[in-house]
Amino acid sequence: MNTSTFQRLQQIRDKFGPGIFGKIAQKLLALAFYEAGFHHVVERGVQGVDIDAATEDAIRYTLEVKTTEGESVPISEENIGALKDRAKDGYTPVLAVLRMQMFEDWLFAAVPLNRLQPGSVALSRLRSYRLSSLEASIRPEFERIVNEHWSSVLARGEHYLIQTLGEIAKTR
Amino acid sequence: MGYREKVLDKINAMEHRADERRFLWQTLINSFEQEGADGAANELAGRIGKVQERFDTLLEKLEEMA
Amino acid sequence: MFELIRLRVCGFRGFVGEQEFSFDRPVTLLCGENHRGKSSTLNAVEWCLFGDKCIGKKTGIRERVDWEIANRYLQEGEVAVTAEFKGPKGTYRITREQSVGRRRAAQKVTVLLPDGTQLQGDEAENMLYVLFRSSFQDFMTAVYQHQEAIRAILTQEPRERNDAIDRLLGLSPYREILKGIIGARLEETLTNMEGRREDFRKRCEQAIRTLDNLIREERGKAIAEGIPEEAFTEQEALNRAAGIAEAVKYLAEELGAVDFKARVPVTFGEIAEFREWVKTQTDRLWAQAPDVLKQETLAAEQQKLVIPKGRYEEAKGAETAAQAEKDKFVGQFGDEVALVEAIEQQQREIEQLDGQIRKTNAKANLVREAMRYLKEVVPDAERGRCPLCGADAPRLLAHLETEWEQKVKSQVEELEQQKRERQSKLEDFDSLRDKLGTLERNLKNARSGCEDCLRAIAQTLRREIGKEEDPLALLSRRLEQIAREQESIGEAISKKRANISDLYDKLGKLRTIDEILVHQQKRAVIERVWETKELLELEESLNEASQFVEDVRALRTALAEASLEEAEGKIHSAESALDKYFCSIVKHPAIPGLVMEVAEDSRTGLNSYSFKSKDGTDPTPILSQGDLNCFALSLFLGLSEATADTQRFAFLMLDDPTQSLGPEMKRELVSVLEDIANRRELIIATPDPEFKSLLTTHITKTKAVYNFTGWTDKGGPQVTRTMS
Repeated sequence: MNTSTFQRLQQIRDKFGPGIFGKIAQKLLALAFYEAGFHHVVERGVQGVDIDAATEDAIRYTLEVKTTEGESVPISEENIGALKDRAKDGYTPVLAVLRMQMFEDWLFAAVPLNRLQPGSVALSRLRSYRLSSLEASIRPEFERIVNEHWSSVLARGEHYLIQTLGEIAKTR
Repeated sequence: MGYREKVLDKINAMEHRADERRFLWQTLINSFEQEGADGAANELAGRIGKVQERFDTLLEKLEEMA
Repeated sequence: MFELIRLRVCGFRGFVGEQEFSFDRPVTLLCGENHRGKSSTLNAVEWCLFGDKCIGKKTGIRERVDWEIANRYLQEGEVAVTAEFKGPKGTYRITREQSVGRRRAAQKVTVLLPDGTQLQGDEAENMLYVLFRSSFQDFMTAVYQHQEAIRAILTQEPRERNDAIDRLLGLSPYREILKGIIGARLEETLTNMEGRREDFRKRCEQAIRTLDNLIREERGKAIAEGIPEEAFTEQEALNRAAGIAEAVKYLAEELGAVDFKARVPVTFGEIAEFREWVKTQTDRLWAQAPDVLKQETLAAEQQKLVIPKGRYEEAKGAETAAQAEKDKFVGQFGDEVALVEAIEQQQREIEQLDGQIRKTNAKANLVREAMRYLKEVVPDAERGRCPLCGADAPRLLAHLETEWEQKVKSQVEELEQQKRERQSKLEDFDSLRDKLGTLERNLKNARSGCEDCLRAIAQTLRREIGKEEDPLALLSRRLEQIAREQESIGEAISKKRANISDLYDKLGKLRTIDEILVHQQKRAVIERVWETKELLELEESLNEASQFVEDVRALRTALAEASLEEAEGKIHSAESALDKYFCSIVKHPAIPGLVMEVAEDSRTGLNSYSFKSKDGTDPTPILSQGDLNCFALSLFLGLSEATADTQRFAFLMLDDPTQSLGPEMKRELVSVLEDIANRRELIIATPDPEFKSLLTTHITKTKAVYNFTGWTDKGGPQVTRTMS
């Protein structure tokens, strides 16, 4: 993503802290999936997998969303379990990681669940499982979504996005 | 069943990239049969070396641009 | 099953000419000192069956690297080994040949089947596998125990021991390939690439942050200078530059430069150069402006006039002062004439006084002499007479003394005193005269100085100055003229200077805008780098490397798992035989049975073996070299037994099995071999005479003994055969 989008995200992160920022990023990602043409997007704040996204022609992804400044992300038993559950329903399990450093962007990795162990997963390992075409379609939409909503997010926080997602879901 | 076949069985059971890994295994065995552990090491190092060369050239170009 | 019945060796390793061995007894012993060809005999069977597969690094046997096939003393000819086997359908003859002297010479393998079919080349090699279903590793595990294998087991280094056990179990290929994978250091390479990419990213980030700070600072400055936000565009910069170019042109006209051509930048990239051009041109126009030149000329002239004026005034002052001093002196002391008169007067008076003093001195001398005469020459009695006429003069001396004291002496003294006074005055007048001379010289010098200054003024004014003319007034008049001219030029110049100042102010603002835009451009360049196809390709190469490393990691896991499974399988199949043989041979009081375990080394993926006593204790600290040898033997024998049902070879070959064994263990080993001899043909090579004796006396099967009594480079091993 370009530097101004990154700096806007940084502002949000600096205001709300890393924990809330992660949830905000997740909701912005969900909006990006809508913009990229996924008609059915379920974003979950609490239990289960973070995002399910499906197109009309049955391309289905289930995503565990992570944000980090470092070079690895923690994966828990629960995360793996939740992905496995959705995988049974035909969803492709994906780790969606946003590294919050300038010039970085979303990384979507379809790691085979049998190779996923709880603990810290190095981002370099995820490279070999990248879904380049999904990245190509989501990244520009995410950038647009951030630039469209960042000032409202700064002003009103997560609640604004909950509302926005709710409104979009009603129209789909 | 020799070691080749035993490892090949495991590769065939892999869900992800079985074809590519089969081909890699074949290449690895050929190098090993000719020159032992060193042969295998050189084959692998050579392959990643080619990627690294490309990487080096690109990085150099990017450094110049920036 | 295939029994080995005959072996013919020619030119192979220690052998020079052809040597034949018959294996027509249940037990064959190859005995003799080291380096006589015993191991070469067993190796010949191996080479005949497996060719290059039993040579080189891939075998995992250190001694097999650069292993020589041909006898090194042979210059020409062929290496040939023929092994004959008795199989289910008759006799099978396998011959393998290679040219002497060519290290990498192609081998020729021939298989002669019982039905007379002869196969060669790849067909022959394939037939070997079909017949015997054995790889070289399998052969090493369960048919031929190499002395190198036992030697390797005896090492104390756990990693080398694990290596040796893997080899014993026929798992060397797994191990060697895993070592190769580890040795390639792929993860290191990938980490290095990731690291360098990250460094590049950080440098770009740092550059962006620095530029952002600079832009922020410059914007702050710009706003403080009154430049509005909307002005930070390339077009605005160009517009301002055009305005400045216009102002320079107007300035040029004002300063009298004709034919001046203003330069207007067309693109943003030309603005930096344009700014330099404005500075250079402005300086040049200013330096060449007529008003400015005139002003400089006037100032120079003014400077020239002020100095002689000051000097003249000073000189004049000095002259007046000198004159005043002289006049004061003359008024007080008189002029030269008066002083000369006074001096001469004093001189005359001194002369007069000198005359008086002489007279008085003459009289005084006379009186003094007379007194002396009367005191010193004349006797006392005659002192009352005049020394000249002899008349009575009783008080002559007293009278003389009184006259001397009262008149003569005081007279002389007075005259002397007057003379001194006159002399003193004379000195004073001389001094005054000298002083007057000095004052006159001073006055002359001061006048001369005034004349010099006057000439300097005339030169400066470039005209003669007449005696009636006041040079100071002339100077002052000229200086006033200059001042008036300067005033009028100064006003014009002030106005032009204000225009230049205004121009520089505009130029300063343009500089600020230019700096901001340049920083923004640099920033944009860095950002664009991250959208280039080169960056995409860089990411792809990193993905490719990561993918490759992940693939190799998967292979490594598969290798480690397969190796572990096979090790576990073989250990499991051989464990009871291993325990049985170990306990039979070793009979260690503290080790009631041996259990062998294998696990995967999590760091390397290699097999890691450990021993446990059946009571659960770790026997490793108390295992001697002999115990380890027995373990190796037990494992070999145990695996042979475990694979007996599927084993195609009906014989076992042991090379120097008694390394580090004591007499008791040797006896026990012989008991074990006696038992095995019931089921398998045994071929045993040993340099150990004690072991040979035990085998000869305690193995009840018939034996053929080949004694390797000597070895020469021309003849090879000297072998004799005996039977028992």
